Amino acid sequence: MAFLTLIMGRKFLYILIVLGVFSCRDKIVIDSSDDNHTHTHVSIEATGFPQMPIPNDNALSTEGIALGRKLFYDPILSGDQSQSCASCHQQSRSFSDDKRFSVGIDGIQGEINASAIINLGWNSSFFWDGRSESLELQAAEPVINPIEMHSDWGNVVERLTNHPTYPSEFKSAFGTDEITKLLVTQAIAQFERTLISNKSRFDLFLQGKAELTPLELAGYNLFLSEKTECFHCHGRPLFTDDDFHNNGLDELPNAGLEGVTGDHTDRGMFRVPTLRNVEFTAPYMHDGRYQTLEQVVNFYSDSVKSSPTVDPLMPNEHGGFHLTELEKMQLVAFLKTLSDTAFINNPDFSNPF
Amino acid sequence: MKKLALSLVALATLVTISCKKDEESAKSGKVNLSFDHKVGSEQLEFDTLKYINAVGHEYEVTKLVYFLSNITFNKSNGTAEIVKGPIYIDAEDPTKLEYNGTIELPVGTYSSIGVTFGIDSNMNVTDTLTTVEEVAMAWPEPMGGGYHYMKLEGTYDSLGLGVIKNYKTHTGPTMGKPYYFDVTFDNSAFTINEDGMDLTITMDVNEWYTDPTVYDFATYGPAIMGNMDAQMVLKGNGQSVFSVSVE
Repeated sequence: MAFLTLIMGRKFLYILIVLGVFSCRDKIVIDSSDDNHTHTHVSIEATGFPQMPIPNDNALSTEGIALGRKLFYDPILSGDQSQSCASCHQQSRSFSDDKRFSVGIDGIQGEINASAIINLGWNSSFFWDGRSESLELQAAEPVINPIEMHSDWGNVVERLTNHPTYPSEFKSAFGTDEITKLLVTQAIAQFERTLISNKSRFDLFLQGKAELTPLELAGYNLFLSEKTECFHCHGRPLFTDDDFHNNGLDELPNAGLEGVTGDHTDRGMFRVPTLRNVEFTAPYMHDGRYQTLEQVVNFYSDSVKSSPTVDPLMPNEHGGFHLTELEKMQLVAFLKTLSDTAFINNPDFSNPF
Repeated sequence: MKKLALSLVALATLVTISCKKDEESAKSGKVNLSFDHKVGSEQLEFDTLKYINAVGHEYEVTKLVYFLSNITFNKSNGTAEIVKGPIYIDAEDPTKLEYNGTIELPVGTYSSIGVTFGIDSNMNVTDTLTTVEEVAMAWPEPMGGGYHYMKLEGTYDSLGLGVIKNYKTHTGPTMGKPYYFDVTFDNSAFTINEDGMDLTITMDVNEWYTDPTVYDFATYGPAIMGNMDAQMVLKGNGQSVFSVSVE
Protein backbone atom coordinates (compact mmCIF):
# COMPACT_ATOMS: atom_id res chain seq x y z
CA MET A 1 0.00 0.00 0.00
CA ALA A 2 2.84 2.37 0.83
CA PHE A 3 4.34 1.62 -2.56
CA LEU A 4 1.04 2.44 -4.24
CA THR A 5 0.78 5.65 -2.29
CA LEU A 6 4.20 6.72 -3.43
CA ILE A 7 3.41 6.06 -7.05
CA MET A 8 -0.11 7.45 -7.28
CA GLY A 9 -0.24 10.17 -4.69
CA ARG A 10 -2.45 10.11 -1.67
CA LYS A 11 -5.41 11.94 -3.15
CA PHE A 12 -5.62 9.68 -6.21
CA LEU A 13 -5.43 6.65 -3.97
CA TYR A 14 -8.35 7.89 -1.93
CA ILE A 15 -10.39 8.29 -5.07
CA LEU A 16 -9.60 4.72 -6.05
CA ILE A 17 -10.56 3.54 -2.59
CA VAL A 18 -13.83 5.41 -2.79
CA LEU A 19 -14.64 4.03 -6.21
CA GLY A 20 -13.86 0.56 -4.95
CA VAL A 21 -15.87 0.86 -1.78
CA PHE A 22 -18.89 2.41 -3.45
CA SER A 23 -18.82 0.73 -6.81
CA CYS A 24 -22.26 -0.77 -6.17
CA ARG A 25 -23.92 2.54 -5.36
CA ASP A 26 -25.52 4.95 -7.74
CA LYS A 27 -23.52 8.11 -7.70
CA ILE A 28 -20.61 9.22 -5.63
CA VAL A 29 -19.54 12.82 -5.47
CA ILE A 30 -16.05 13.36 -4.18
CA ASP A 31 -14.74 16.81 -3.49
CA SER A 32 -11.40 15.57 -2.15
CA SER A 33 -11.11 18.75 -0.11
CA ASP A 34 -8.40 18.22 2.42
CA ASP A 35 -9.04 20.92 4.97
CA ASN A 36 -6.91 20.38 8.02
CA HIS A 37 -6.60 16.65 7.63
CA THR A 38 -6.67 14.09 4.91
CA HIS A 39 -10.22 12.77 4.78
CA THR A 40 -12.27 12.66 1.63
CA HIS A 41 -15.82 13.96 1.60
CA VAL A 42 -18.45 11.71 0.10
CA SER A 43 -22.06 12.35 -0.79
CA ILE A 44 -24.48 9.69 -1.91
CA GLU A 45 -27.30 10.06 -4.37
CA ALA A 46 -29.55 7.02 -4.64
CA THR A 47 -31.57 6.55 -7.81
CA GLY A 48 -35.25 7.20 -7.27
CA PHE A 49 -34.83 8.40 -3.70
CA PRO A 50 -35.12 11.91 -2.26
CA GLN A 51 -31.90 13.75 -1.47
CA MET A 52 -30.54 12.34 1.78
CA PRO A 53 -30.30 15.01 4.48
CA ILE A 54 -26.83 14.97 6.04
CA PRO A 55 -26.17 16.85 9.30
CA ASN A 56 -23.92 19.86 8.82
CA ASP A 57 -21.60 18.67 11.57
CA ASN A 58 -21.18 15.13 10.29
CA ALA A 59 -20.39 15.13 6.59
CA LEU A 60 -19.66 11.69 5.20
CA SER A 61 -16.07 10.76 4.47
CA THR A 62 -14.48 7.52 3.32
CA GLU A 63 -12.51 7.39 6.55
CA GLY A 64 -15.53 8.11 8.74
CA ILE A 65 -17.60 5.46 7.00
CA ALA A 66 -14.84 2.87 7.28
CA LEU A 67 -14.35 3.70 10.96
CA GLY A 68 -18.09 3.51 11.59
CA ARG A 69 -18.23 0.12 9.94
CA LYS A 70 -15.49 -1.20 12.24
CA LEU A 71 -17.17 0.22 15.32
CA PHE A 72 -20.52 -1.25 14.24
CA TYR A 73 -19.02 -4.72 14.15
CA ASP A 74 -16.65 -4.39 17.12
CA PRO A 75 -17.80 -5.89 20.46
CA ILE A 76 -15.48 -3.42 22.18
CA LEU A 77 -18.53 -1.19 22.61
CA SER A 78 -20.32 -3.59 24.97
CA GLY A 79 -19.71 -3.95 28.69
CA ASP A 80 -18.10 -7.41 28.56
CA GLN A 81 -16.94 -6.98 24.94
CA SER A 82 -19.17 -9.85 23.83
CA GLN A 83 -21.71 -8.05 21.63
CA SER A 84 -21.54 -5.50 18.87
CA CYS A 85 -24.28 -3.55 17.11
CA ALA A 86 -24.19 -6.30 14.50
CA SER A 87 -25.17 -8.92 17.08
CA CYS A 88 -28.78 -7.76 16.85
CA HIS A 89 -28.52 -6.06 13.45
CA GLN A 90 -27.29 -8.74 11.07
CA GLN A 91 -26.68 -7.98 7.43
CA SER A 92 -28.24 -11.24 6.26
CA ARG A 93 -31.49 -10.10 7.92
CA SER A 94 -31.35 -6.58 6.53
CA PHE A 95 -29.64 -5.52 9.74
CA SER A 96 -32.28 -6.89 12.09
CA ASP A 97 -32.37 -10.28 13.80
CA ASP A 98 -34.71 -13.27 13.84
CA LYS A 99 -35.78 -12.91 17.45
CA ARG A 100 -38.98 -11.43 18.76
CA PHE A 101 -36.91 -9.64 21.39
CA SER A 102 -33.13 -9.52 21.23
CA VAL A 103 -31.07 -10.66 24.22
CA GLY A 104 -28.42 -8.37 25.74
CA ILE A 105 -25.00 -9.21 27.19
CA ASP A 106 -26.48 -10.15 30.56
CA GLY A 107 -28.93 -12.59 29.03
CA ILE A 108 -31.85 -10.23 29.55
CA GLN A 109 -34.45 -10.08 26.82
CA GLY A 110 -35.40 -6.71 25.40
CA GLU A 111 -38.90 -5.31 25.27
CA ILE A 112 -39.24 -4.38 21.63
CA ASN A 113 -38.32 -5.91 18.28
CA ALA A 114 -34.93 -4.92 16.81
CA SER A 115 -35.50 -2.56 13.89
CA ALA A 116 -33.92 -3.16 10.51
CA ILE A 117 -31.16 -0.67 9.70
CA ILE A 118 -31.96 0.15 6.12
CA ASN A 119 -32.34 3.49 4.37
CA LEU A 120 -32.32 5.23 7.75
CA GLY A 121 -30.58 8.28 6.29
CA TRP A 122 -34.02 9.56 5.30
CA ASN A 123 -35.67 9.09 8.70
CA SER A 124 -36.47 12.10 10.84
CA SER A 125 -36.68 10.07 14.05
CA PHE A 126 -35.43 6.73 15.34
CA PHE A 127 -36.56 3.82 17.51
CA TRP A 128 -40.12 2.51 17.25
CA ASP A 129 -41.31 5.33 19.50
CA GLY A 130 -39.23 8.00 17.74
CA ARG A 131 -37.39 9.08 20.87
CA SER A 132 -34.15 9.93 19.06
CA GLU A 133 -33.97 12.77 16.59
CA SER A 134 -30.82 11.67 14.81
CA LEU A 135 -28.84 8.56 13.96
CA GLU A 136 -26.02 9.94 16.10
CA LEU A 137 -28.27 10.16 19.18
CA GLN A 138 -29.74 6.75 18.42
CA ALA A 139 -26.32 5.12 18.25
CA ALA A 140 -25.45 6.33 21.74
CA GLU A 141 -28.32 4.59 23.49
CA PRO A 142 -27.88 0.80 23.03
CA VAL A 143 -24.29 1.05 24.26
CA ILE A 144 -25.39 2.03 27.77
CA ASN A 145 -28.80 0.34 27.85
CA PRO A 146 -28.58 -2.15 30.76
CA ILE A 147 -30.55 -4.81 28.86
CA GLU A 148 -28.55 -4.40 25.68
CA MET A 149 -24.81 -3.71 25.49
CA HIS A 150 -24.74 -2.55 29.12
CA SER A 151 -21.57 -0.56 28.86
CA ASP A 152 -20.42 2.86 29.97
CA TRP A 153 -19.33 5.56 27.58
CA GLY A 154 -16.35 6.45 29.76
CA ASN A 155 -15.09 2.86 29.54
CA VAL A 156 -15.77 2.66 25.82
CA VAL A 157 -13.82 5.85 25.14
CA GLU A 158 -10.96 4.63 27.32
CA ARG A 159 -10.79 1.28 25.51
CA LEU A 160 -10.80 2.93 22.13
CA THR A 161 -8.19 5.48 23.20
CA ASN A 162 -5.87 2.70 24.37
CA HIS A 163 -6.48 0.61 21.26
CA PRO A 164 -3.51 0.16 18.91
CA THR A 165 -5.27 1.41 15.75
CA TYR A 166 -8.44 3.33 16.62
CA PRO A 167 -6.75 6.63 17.60
CA SER A 168 -5.13 6.95 14.18
CA GLU A 169 -8.37 5.98 12.48
CA PHE A 170 -10.25 8.70 14.37
CA LYS A 171 -7.44 11.08 13.40
CA SER A 172 -7.99 10.20 9.74
CA ALA A 173 -11.75 10.49 9.99
CA PHE A 174 -12.16 13.53 12.19
CA GLY A 175 -8.75 15.20 12.40
CA THR A 176 -8.23 14.36 16.05
CA ASP A 177 -7.13 11.32 17.99
CA GLU A 178 -9.00 12.56 21.05
CA ILE A 179 -11.78 10.02 20.96
CA THR A 180 -15.17 11.05 22.33
CA LYS A 181 -18.62 9.55 22.58
CA LEU A 182 -19.78 12.07 19.98
CA LEU A 183 -17.17 11.02 17.44
CA VAL A 184 -17.94 7.33 17.98
CA THR A 185 -21.62 7.88 17.31
CA GLN A 186 -20.89 10.15 14.36
CA ALA A 187 -18.74 7.45 12.75
CA ILE A 188 -21.39 4.77 13.27
CA ALA A 189 -24.04 7.10 11.86
CA GLN A 190 -21.90 7.72 8.78
CA PHE A 191 -21.70 4.00 8.12
CA GLU A 192 -25.41 3.55 8.73
CA ARG A 193 -26.23 6.28 6.19
CA THR A 194 -24.50 4.18 3.53
CA LEU A 195 -26.79 1.20 4.21
CA ILE A 196 -28.99 1.96 1.24
CA SER A 197 -31.22 -0.57 -0.43
CA ASN A 198 -32.69 0.42 -3.79
CA LYS A 199 -31.83 -2.48 -6.04
CA SER A 200 -34.70 -4.86 -5.47
CA ARG A 201 -36.41 -6.60 -8.36
CA PHE A 202 -39.20 -4.07 -7.97
CA ASP A 203 -36.70 -1.24 -8.54
CA LEU A 204 -35.44 -3.00 -11.65
CA PHE A 205 -39.05 -3.42 -12.77
CA LEU A 206 -39.60 0.34 -12.46
CA GLN A 207 -36.47 0.89 -14.54
CA GLY A 208 -37.72 -1.52 -17.20
CA LYS A 209 -34.98 -4.01 -16.45
CA ALA A 210 -37.07 -6.79 -14.92
CA GLU A 211 -40.53 -8.27 -15.17
CA LEU A 212 -43.01 -8.97 -12.40
CA THR A 213 -45.23 -12.01 -12.53
CA PRO A 214 -49.00 -11.51 -12.95
CA LEU A 215 -49.40 -12.45 -9.26
CA GLU A 216 -46.85 -9.83 -8.18
CA LEU A 217 -48.35 -7.17 -10.44
CA ALA A 218 -51.80 -7.86 -9.08
CA GLY A 219 -50.34 -7.48 -5.61
CA TYR A 220 -48.76 -4.15 -6.54
CA ASN A 221 -52.06 -2.84 -7.87
CA LEU A 222 -53.80 -4.00 -4.71
CA PHE A 223 -51.07 -2.34 -2.65
CA LEU A 224 -51.77 0.93 -4.49
CA SER A 225 -55.54 0.75 -4.03
CA GLU A 226 -57.86 2.14 -1.38
CA LYS A 227 -58.99 -1.42 -0.78
CA THR A 228 -55.83 -1.97 1.28
CA GLU A 229 -54.51 1.57 1.82
CA CYS A 230 -50.96 0.12 2.03
CA PHE A 231 -49.48 2.92 -0.08
CA HIS A 232 -50.50 5.70 2.29
CA CYS A 233 -48.08 4.58 5.00
CA HIS A 234 -45.72 2.50 2.86
CA GLY A 235 -45.49 4.43 -0.38
CA ARG A 236 -42.55 4.18 -2.69
CA PRO A 237 -39.70 4.88 -2.99
CA LEU A 238 -38.88 4.47 0.70
CA PHE A 239 -41.93 2.34 1.51
CA THR A 240 -42.42 4.29 4.73
CA ASP A 241 -44.00 7.70 5.24
CA ASP A 242 -41.52 8.52 8.02
CA ASP A 243 -44.48 9.04 10.35
CA PHE A 244 -46.28 7.41 13.28
CA HIS A 245 -49.54 5.48 13.15
CA ASN A 246 -51.64 3.24 15.35
CA ASN A 247 -52.38 0.38 12.96
CA GLY A 248 -54.96 -1.25 15.22
CA LEU A 249 -52.98 -4.13 16.69
CA ASP A 250 -54.73 -3.96 20.06
CA GLU A 251 -57.80 -2.54 21.72
CA LEU A 252 -55.51 -1.45 24.57
CA PRO A 253 -52.37 -0.53 22.67
CA ASN A 254 -48.88 -0.11 24.07
CA ALA A 255 -47.75 3.46 24.70
CA GLY A 256 -45.61 3.98 21.58
CA LEU A 257 -45.20 7.65 20.77
CA GLU A 258 -47.21 8.60 23.85
CA GLY A 259 -44.27 7.41 25.94
CA VAL A 260 -42.19 10.16 24.36
CA THR A 261 -44.68 13.01 23.98
CA GLY A 262 -46.87 12.34 27.02
CA ASP A 263 -49.85 13.06 24.77
CA HIS A 264 -52.62 10.46 25.17
CA THR A 265 -53.70 11.04 21.58
CA ASP A 266 -50.37 9.47 20.52
CA ARG A 267 -51.21 6.19 22.26
CA GLY A 268 -50.31 3.11 20.26
CA MET A 269 -48.55 5.05 17.51
CA PHE A 270 -45.28 3.59 16.26
CA ARG A 271 -42.89 4.55 13.50
CA VAL A 272 -43.80 3.03 10.16
CA PRO A 273 -41.00 0.64 9.15
CA THR A 274 -39.94 0.37 5.55
CA LEU A 275 -41.25 -2.64 3.65
CA ARG A 276 -38.04 -2.92 1.68
CA ASN A 277 -36.41 -6.27 2.47
CA VAL A 278 -39.38 -7.16 4.63
CA GLU A 279 -38.90 -10.78 3.54
CA PHE A 280 -35.68 -10.83 5.57
CA THR A 281 -36.83 -9.06 8.74
CA ALA A 282 -39.28 -11.41 10.48
CA PRO A 283 -40.71 -11.35 13.07
CA TYR A 284 -42.95 -8.36 12.45
CA MET A 285 -44.54 -5.40 14.27
CA HIS A 286 -42.96 -3.47 17.13
CA ASP A 287 -43.39 -6.45 19.43
CA GLY A 288 -42.50 -9.11 16.88
CA ARG A 289 -45.83 -10.85 17.34
CA TYR A 290 -46.09 -12.16 13.77
CA GLN A 291 -43.64 -14.68 12.39
CA THR A 292 -44.62 -14.57 8.73
CA LEU A 293 -45.80 -12.10 6.11
CA GLU A 294 -48.92 -14.22 5.70
CA GLN A 295 -49.76 -13.61 9.36
CA VAL A 296 -49.25 -9.88 8.89
CA VAL A 297 -51.56 -9.79 5.87
CA ASN A 298 -54.14 -11.86 7.75
CA PHE A 299 -54.05 -9.30 10.54
CA TYR A 300 -54.72 -6.41 8.18
CA SER A 301 -57.43 -8.43 6.48
CA ASP A 302 -59.44 -9.56 9.47
CA SER A 303 -58.10 -8.57 12.88
CA VAL A 304 -57.68 -4.79 13.06
CA LYS A 305 -58.80 -3.60 16.49
CA SER A 306 -60.55 -0.36 17.22
CA SER A 307 -59.22 2.04 19.83
CA PRO A 308 -59.47 5.79 20.37
CA THR A 309 -56.23 6.51 18.50
CA VAL A 310 -56.42 3.95 15.70
CA ASP A 311 -55.47 5.63 12.46
CA PRO A 312 -58.29 6.78 10.17
CA LEU A 313 -56.53 4.91 7.38
CA MET A 314 -57.41 1.67 9.14
CA PRO A 315 -60.87 0.12 8.62
CA ASN A 316 -61.79 0.04 12.29
CA GLU A 317 -65.49 -0.24 11.54
CA HIS A 318 -65.31 -3.76 10.16
CA GLY A 319 -62.20 -5.33 11.64
CA GLY A 320 -60.02 -5.27 8.55
CA PHE A 321 -59.75 -4.88 4.80
CA HIS A 322 -61.34 -8.27 4.16
CA LEU A 323 -59.10 -9.72 1.51
CA THR A 324 -59.67 -12.94 -0.36
CA GLU A 325 -57.11 -15.72 -0.11
CA LEU A 326 -55.95 -14.87 -3.63
CA GLU A 327 -55.53 -11.21 -2.73
CA LYS A 328 -53.47 -12.16 0.31
CA MET A 329 -51.20 -14.26 -1.90
CA GLN A 330 -50.89 -11.39 -4.35
CA LEU A 331 -49.86 -8.95 -1.64
CA VAL A 332 -47.24 -11.29 -0.18
CA ALA A 333 -45.88 -11.98 -3.66
CA PHE A 334 -45.52 -8.25 -4.28
CA LEU A 335 -43.85 -7.64 -0.91
CA LYS A 336 -41.20 -10.19 -1.80
CA THR A 337 -40.29 -8.22 -4.92
CA LEU A 338 -38.89 -5.60 -2.52
CA SER A 339 -36.12 -7.98 -1.48
CA ASP A 340 -32.67 -6.68 -2.31
CA THR A 341 -30.22 -9.56 -2.20
CA ALA A 342 -27.42 -7.29 -3.40
CA PHE A 343 -27.90 -5.30 -0.20
CA ILE A 344 -27.70 -8.24 2.18
CA ASN A 345 -24.66 -9.57 0.33
CA ASN A 346 -22.89 -6.27 -0.26
CA PRO A 347 -19.27 -6.74 0.89
CA ASP A 348 -19.03 -3.03 1.72
CA PHE A 349 -21.51 -3.59 4.53
CA SER A 350 -20.06 -6.81 5.88
CA ASN A 351 -17.98 -7.55 8.95
CA PRO A 352 -14.51 -6.06 8.35
CA PHE A 353 -12.82 -8.19 11.01
CA MET B 1 -15.53 70.37 -28.74
CA LYS B 2 -18.24 72.34 -26.96
CA LYS B 3 -20.87 70.12 -28.60
CA LEU B 4 -18.99 67.06 -27.45
CA ALA B 5 -18.85 68.40 -23.89
CA LEU B 6 -22.58 69.15 -23.94
CA SER B 7 -23.25 65.70 -25.32
CA LEU B 8 -21.22 64.09 -22.58
CA VAL B 9 -23.11 66.11 -19.96
CA ALA B 10 -26.40 65.13 -21.54
CA LEU B 11 -25.33 61.50 -21.68
CA ALA B 12 -24.19 61.61 -18.08
CA THR B 13 -27.54 63.14 -17.10
CA LEU B 14 -29.43 60.45 -18.99
CA VAL B 15 -27.35 57.75 -17.37
CA THR B 16 -27.99 59.30 -13.96
CA ILE B 17 -31.74 59.50 -14.57
CA SER B 18 -31.74 56.03 -15.97
CA CYS B 19 -29.91 54.74 -12.92
CA LYS B 20 -32.35 56.50 -10.61
CA LYS B 21 -35.27 54.94 -12.43
CA ASP B 22 -33.62 51.53 -12.23
CA GLU B 23 -33.00 52.02 -8.53
CA GLU B 24 -36.62 52.96 -7.97
CA SER B 25 -37.96 50.08 -10.00
CA ALA B 26 -35.57 47.69 -8.26
CA LYS B 27 -36.99 48.55 -4.86
CA SER B 28 -38.79 45.64 -3.33
CA GLY B 29 -40.48 44.50 -0.18
CA LYS B 30 -40.32 41.12 1.46
CA VAL B 31 -43.50 39.09 1.90
CA ASN B 32 -43.62 36.87 4.98
CA LEU B 33 -46.07 34.16 3.98
CA SER B 34 -47.70 32.00 6.63
CA PHE B 35 -50.61 29.59 6.85
CA ASP B 36 -53.35 29.36 9.42
CA HIS B 37 -56.17 26.89 10.02
CA LYS B 38 -59.54 27.43 11.60
CA VAL B 39 -62.83 25.65 12.03
CA GLY B 40 -65.42 28.39 11.73
CA SER B 41 -64.12 31.11 14.01
CA GLU B 42 -62.06 28.74 16.19
CA GLN B 43 -58.40 27.93 15.78
CA LEU B 44 -58.04 24.34 14.55
CA GLU B 45 -57.24 21.96 17.39
CA PHE B 46 -56.21 18.42 16.51
CA ASP B 47 -57.47 15.16 18.01
CA THR B 48 -60.56 16.61 19.66
CA LEU B 49 -64.01 15.45 18.67
CA LYS B 50 -65.72 18.78 19.05
CA TYR B 51 -66.40 20.32 15.66
CA ILE B 52 -69.80 20.17 13.98
CA ASN B 53 -70.12 20.06 10.22
CA ALA B 54 -73.07 21.13 8.10
CA VAL B 55 -74.64 17.68 8.31
CA GLY B 56 -74.55 17.88 12.08
CA HIS B 57 -71.82 15.28 12.57
CA GLU B 58 -69.41 15.86 15.40
CA TYR B 59 -65.90 15.39 14.01
CA GLU B 60 -62.22 15.67 14.84
CA VAL B 61 -59.17 16.32 12.70
CA THR B 62 -56.15 14.06 13.17
CA LYS B 63 -54.14 15.06 10.09
CA LEU B 64 -54.12 17.98 7.68
CA VAL B 65 -51.41 18.25 5.04
CA TYR B 66 -51.76 19.83 1.61
CA PHE B 67 -50.15 21.73 -1.23
CA LEU B 68 -50.71 25.26 -2.43
CA SER B 69 -49.13 26.53 -5.61
CA ASN B 70 -49.09 29.59 -7.86
CA ILE B 71 -49.31 32.21 -5.13
CA THR B 72 -50.15 35.10 -7.43
CA PHE B 73 -49.88 38.83 -6.85
CA ASN B 74 -51.87 40.55 -9.61
CA LYS B 75 -51.33 44.10 -10.79
CA SER B 76 -54.02 46.23 -12.37
CA ASN B 77 -52.04 46.38 -15.63
CA GLY B 78 -52.56 42.66 -16.11
CA THR B 79 -49.09 41.56 -15.05
CA ALA B 80 -48.44 39.40 -12.01
CA GLU B 81 -45.70 38.13 -9.72
CA ILE B 82 -46.08 34.38 -9.15
CA VAL B 83 -44.54 32.02 -6.62
CA LYS B 84 -45.08 28.72 -8.37
CA GLY B 85 -44.29 26.28 -5.55
CA PRO B 86 -45.79 23.84 -4.83
CA ILE B 87 -45.66 24.65 -1.14
CA TYR B 88 -46.16 21.76 1.31
CA ILE B 89 -48.11 22.67 4.44
CA ASP B 90 -48.59 20.52 7.54
CA ALA B 91 -51.12 22.20 9.81
CA GLU B 92 -49.80 20.29 12.82
CA ASP B 93 -46.11 21.12 12.29
CA PRO B 94 -45.12 24.68 13.28
CA THR B 95 -42.09 24.50 10.97
CA LYS B 96 -44.41 23.98 8.01
CA LEU B 97 -46.69 26.92 8.74
CA GLU B 98 -44.35 29.54 7.34
CA TYR B 99 -43.07 29.56 3.78
CA ASN B 100 -39.31 29.12 4.06
CA GLY B 101 -38.47 30.50 0.63
CA THR B 102 -37.98 34.18 -0.15
CA ILE B 103 -40.70 36.30 -1.70
CA GLU B 104 -39.61 39.79 -2.80
CA LEU B 105 -42.22 41.91 -4.54
CA PRO B 106 -41.48 45.13 -6.43
CA VAL B 107 -42.88 47.96 -4.31
CA GLY B 108 -46.21 49.29 -5.49
CA THR B 109 -49.89 48.59 -5.52
CA TYR B 110 -51.39 45.23 -6.40
CA SER B 111 -54.99 44.63 -7.34
CA SER B 112 -55.51 41.12 -5.91
CA ILE B 113 -54.00 37.93 -4.57
CA GLY B 114 -54.69 34.47 -5.92
CA VAL B 115 -53.66 30.89 -5.18
CA THR B 116 -54.02 27.42 -6.63
CA PHE B 117 -55.25 24.79 -4.20
CA GLY B 118 -53.23 21.64 -4.81
CA ILE B 119 -50.79 21.39 -7.67
CA ASP B 120 -51.72 22.38 -11.19
CA SER B 121 -51.52 19.65 -13.81
CA ASN B 122 -48.33 21.00 -15.40
CA MET B 123 -46.43 20.49 -12.15
CA ASN B 124 -48.29 17.49 -10.76
CA VAL B 125 -46.05 14.80 -12.19
CA THR B 126 -45.01 11.58 -10.44
CA ASP B 127 -41.49 11.50 -9.01
CA THR B 128 -40.77 15.21 -9.40
CA LEU B 129 -40.94 16.29 -5.75
CA THR B 130 -37.94 15.60 -3.59
CA THR B 131 -38.46 15.79 0.17
CA VAL B 132 -39.60 12.80 2.20
CA GLU B 133 -42.78 14.64 3.22
CA GLU B 134 -43.62 15.59 -0.33
CA VAL B 135 -42.89 12.10 -1.59
CA ALA B 136 -45.32 10.74 1.02
CA MET B 137 -48.05 12.71 -0.79
CA ALA B 138 -47.73 10.55 -3.91
CA TRP B 139 -50.98 9.73 -5.71
CA PRO B 140 -50.82 6.18 -7.12
CA GLU B 141 -50.24 5.86 -10.84
CA PRO B 142 -53.29 3.61 -11.40
CA MET B 143 -55.42 6.45 -10.02
CA GLY B 144 -53.82 9.09 -12.19
CA GLY B 145 -50.34 9.63 -10.74
CA GLY B 146 -48.80 12.82 -9.39
CA TYR B 147 -49.44 13.87 -5.81
CA HIS B 148 -52.35 14.34 -3.43
CA TYR B 149 -53.59 17.90 -3.18
CA MET B 150 -54.65 17.32 0.41
CA LYS B 151 -54.92 14.69 3.13
CA LEU B 152 -57.52 15.76 5.69
CA GLU B 153 -58.28 12.89 8.06
CA GLY B 154 -60.09 12.17 11.28
CA THR B 155 -63.12 10.55 12.80
CA TYR B 156 -66.73 11.53 13.23
CA ASP B 157 -69.66 10.49 15.36
CA SER B 158 -72.13 9.37 12.75
CA LEU B 159 -75.19 9.09 14.95
CA GLY B 160 -74.32 11.29 17.88
CA LEU B 161 -74.31 8.12 19.95
CA GLY B 162 -70.59 7.52 20.12
CA VAL B 163 -70.49 5.40 16.96
CA ILE B 164 -67.12 6.61 15.67
CA LYS B 165 -66.23 6.23 12.01
CA ASN B 166 -63.30 7.39 9.92
CA TYR B 167 -63.20 9.99 7.20
CA LYS B 168 -60.35 10.61 4.79
CA THR B 169 -60.82 13.71 2.70
CA HIS B 170 -58.05 12.96 0.26
CA THR B 171 -58.19 15.09 -2.83
CA GLY B 172 -56.07 14.87 -5.95
CA PRO B 173 -56.07 14.13 -9.66
CA THR B 174 -58.59 11.31 -9.56
CA MET B 175 -58.21 9.13 -12.66
CA GLY B 176 -55.93 11.80 -14.10
CA LYS B 177 -58.63 14.47 -14.04
CA PRO B 178 -57.72 17.85 -12.58
CA TYR B 179 -59.55 18.75 -9.39
CA TYR B 180 -57.21 21.51 -8.30
CA PHE B 181 -58.72 24.97 -8.44
CA ASP B 182 -57.71 28.61 -8.52
CA VAL B 183 -58.99 31.18 -6.08
CA THR B 184 -58.66 34.94 -6.50
CA PHE B 185 -59.53 36.58 -3.22
CA ASP B 186 -62.07 39.41 -3.07
CA ASN B 187 -60.88 42.68 -1.56
CA SER B 188 -57.27 41.56 -1.52
CA ALA B 189 -55.73 44.67 -3.10
CA PHE B 190 -52.67 45.92 -1.22
CA THR B 191 -49.72 48.25 -1.42
CA ILE B 192 -46.26 47.05 -0.48
CA ASN B 193 -43.29 49.24 0.33
CA GLU B 194 -39.72 48.42 1.28
CA ASP B 195 -40.80 47.52 4.81
CA GLY B 196 -42.48 44.44 3.38
CA MET B 197 -45.61 42.82 4.71
CA ASP B 198 -47.07 39.75 6.35
CA LEU B 199 -49.46 37.66 4.29
CA THR B 200 -51.52 34.92 5.91
CA ILE B 201 -53.55 32.36 3.99
CA THR B 202 -56.20 30.81 6.21
CA MET B 203 -58.13 27.59 5.66
CA ASP B 204 -61.53 27.12 7.29
CA VAL B 205 -61.84 23.34 7.52
CA ASN B 206 -65.60 23.40 7.92
CA GLU B 207 -65.99 25.09 4.55
CA TRP B 208 -64.89 21.91 2.78
CA TYR B 209 -68.15 20.36 3.86
CA THR B 210 -70.63 23.06 2.94
CA ASP B 211 -71.35 25.86 0.47
CA PRO B 212 -72.57 25.29 -2.08
CA THR B 213 -72.97 21.53 -1.44
CA VAL B 214 -73.37 19.87 1.93
CA TYR B 215 -70.84 17.05 2.09
CA ASP B 216 -71.89 14.08 4.19
CA PHE B 217 -69.07 11.74 5.24
CA ALA B 218 -71.55 8.87 5.28
CA THR B 219 -72.66 9.46 1.68
CA TYR B 220 -69.23 9.23 0.14
CA GLY B 221 -67.58 6.83 2.59
CA PRO B 222 -64.00 6.94 3.77
CA ALA B 223 -62.35 6.10 0.43
CA ILE B 224 -62.86 8.92 -2.07
CA MET B 225 -59.67 8.93 -4.10
CA GLY B 226 -61.47 7.17 -6.92
CA ASN B 227 -64.75 9.00 -6.45
CA MET B 228 -65.13 11.76 -9.01
CA ASP B 229 -68.42 12.98 -7.54
CA ALA B 230 -66.83 13.53 -4.15
CA GLN B 231 -63.83 15.24 -5.72
CA MET B 232 -66.10 17.55 -7.70
CA VAL B 233 -68.13 18.52 -4.63
CA LEU B 234 -64.97 19.29 -2.68
CA LYS B 235 -63.58 21.30 -5.58
CA GLY B 236 -66.75 23.35 -5.65
CA ASN B 237 -66.83 23.85 -1.89
CA GLY B 238 -63.14 24.75 -1.92
CA GLN B 239 -63.81 28.18 -3.37
CA SER B 240 -64.90 29.44 0.04
CA VAL B 241 -62.33 27.52 2.11
CA PHE B 242 -59.47 30.00 1.93
CA SER B 243 -59.10 33.64 2.88
CA VAL B 244 -56.15 36.01 3.04
CA SER B 245 -55.08 38.80 5.32
CA VAL B 246 -52.31 41.33 4.76
CA GLU B 247 -50.57 43.37 7.45
